[in-house]
Amino acid sequence: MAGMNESIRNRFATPKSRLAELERRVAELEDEVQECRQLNLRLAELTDLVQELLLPVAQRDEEKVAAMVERYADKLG
Amino acid sequence: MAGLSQIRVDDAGILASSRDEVVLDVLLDGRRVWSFWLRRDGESHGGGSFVAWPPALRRFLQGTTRLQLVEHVSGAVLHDEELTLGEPGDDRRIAVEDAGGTPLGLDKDNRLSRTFDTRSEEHVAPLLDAVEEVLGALHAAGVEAFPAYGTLLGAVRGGKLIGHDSDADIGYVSRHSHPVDVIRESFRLQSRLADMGYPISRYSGAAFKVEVVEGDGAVRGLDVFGGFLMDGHLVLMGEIRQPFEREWVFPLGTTTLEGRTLPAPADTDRFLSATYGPDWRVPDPAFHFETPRSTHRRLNGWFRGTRVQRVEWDRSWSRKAPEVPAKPTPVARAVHEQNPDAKLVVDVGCGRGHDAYWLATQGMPTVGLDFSPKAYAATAARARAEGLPLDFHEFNLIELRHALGWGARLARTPGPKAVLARHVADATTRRGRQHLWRFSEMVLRDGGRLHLEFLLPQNENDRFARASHLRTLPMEKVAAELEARGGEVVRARELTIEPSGAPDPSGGRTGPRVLCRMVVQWQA
Repeated sequence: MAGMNESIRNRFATPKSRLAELERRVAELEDEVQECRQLNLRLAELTDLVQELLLPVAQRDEEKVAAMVERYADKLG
Repeated sequence: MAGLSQIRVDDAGILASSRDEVVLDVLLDGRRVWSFWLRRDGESHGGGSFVAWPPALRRFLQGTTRLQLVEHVSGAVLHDEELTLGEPGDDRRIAVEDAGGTPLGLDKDNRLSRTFDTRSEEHVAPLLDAVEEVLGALHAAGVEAFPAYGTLLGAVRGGKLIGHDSDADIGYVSRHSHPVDVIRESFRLQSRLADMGYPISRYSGAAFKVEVVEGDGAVRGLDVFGGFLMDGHLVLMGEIRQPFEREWVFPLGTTTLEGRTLPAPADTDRFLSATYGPDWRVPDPAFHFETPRSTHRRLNGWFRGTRVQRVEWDRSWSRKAPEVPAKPTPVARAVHEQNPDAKLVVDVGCGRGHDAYWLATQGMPTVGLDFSPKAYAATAARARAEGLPLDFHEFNLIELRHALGWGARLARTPGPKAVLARHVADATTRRGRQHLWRFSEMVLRDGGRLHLEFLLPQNENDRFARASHLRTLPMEKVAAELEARGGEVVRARELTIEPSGAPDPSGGRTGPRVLCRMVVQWQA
């Protein structure tokens, strides 16, 4: 019985170097996941600005474009 | 009821022993000033638990008081003694109050505040008016908001604001289910509220503060937390991500707070369980969120990162503003001398605005930008009174909308301009630096120069760097980043400034400072 436990342990044992490598990869993956998540805020910021600017541009209304550029910055808080 | 034994109270803190965990209120002369969990917050000490006085209370603990330890849930008095802290024989009564004599207490985060149990009904009414006003404004702006966190807890548990709480919170659950849409909606709410005349400060992509002027003219800030349902979970900015169903939120029901009927999530039991756990009915004035790391990582990754070092800077700027010095900094002088044709000077991260003020007195139209209006308020008032060509605006370099929005707006002034950024590249994040380069490129589209000053790596661990919340930057790194954005480094100089003998902001003396002054231009 003891011999069988030993063989199971060996089969599932993870060498220290392999464990360190896995830890390093998890840390790296966590960093990469955060990088991806950070795109949400950036994309929302860009979309907000483009949408606000695109409408008056599409309407070829220079006065509205000027007013939008003034007001947009004012409302950022 | 829990029993306490081995009780000893002294200048260091409170030692007590209890068989079971217990939440204790500390009353001084009959008034609660602090609450804690004996075991969770204490250190094991000779068979009991020792809880040190929180730093915020220490300065008050000189004199005599009647100290009671009361079990929060049952209200049972477990200890009652008259004692003197500080100098023996000091018979002045200990008073935990502000300078105006208003009683103060510690909230659940051990911050000194004007908790509700110290306020009368007439003091609480303006807060409730403000809550109703902001709920109404958010409704008009397109979301169904309701009291959240401690405010909802107090309403559902007893129809009242919680005594040890100090402010009201508002939340809403978006119809959107993707972080990008939730953030865009939050921007749109901010814009609508700004149109209605409310000043807004943004905390993150999904939370902001709305300022409401109360009846007596006092300004109150109410926090608004955005939430959404995603993959079968309720996510609410701040602390929450729990399995949840839409039907548990919508259609909203009602709750009663201090006699007023307010909206509430459809299933307040489930909502409060998601917020505070299944034991939310048991009062806990020392509650700590145990937010899972995965929830923090999600909220940080999706929404946060735009207020780096804000707490430290706010602390610095809350000190009294010094007089405007007669002399400008060498960088401001260089901006004046080297940009005679500039139609506009932009001082990014202007702080107190002293250089901007000096440049305006030299006849150069100037705009000062800083995230903290408190920093430049005094200089702005003086410039207005003197009719100088100087404006200041709130500006957060780390928010892309600010960099692009202000870059576009300032670029509308035709002609060459100058951008001054003294200790900005070394104060902000990598993203902030990228925004600074992009912003400068936009503002200088018609020609002109960017003048930079930043600390070099020789100052690592320098006291000035720490006291001024600065990191250091290698010159080559800054030059490479600028060149990658199409900038041309016209001049870069390393120089050593010997200490002036004046105390630095931390009160100590500082050694020689090694810094870089750099001038950059873009092809017009």
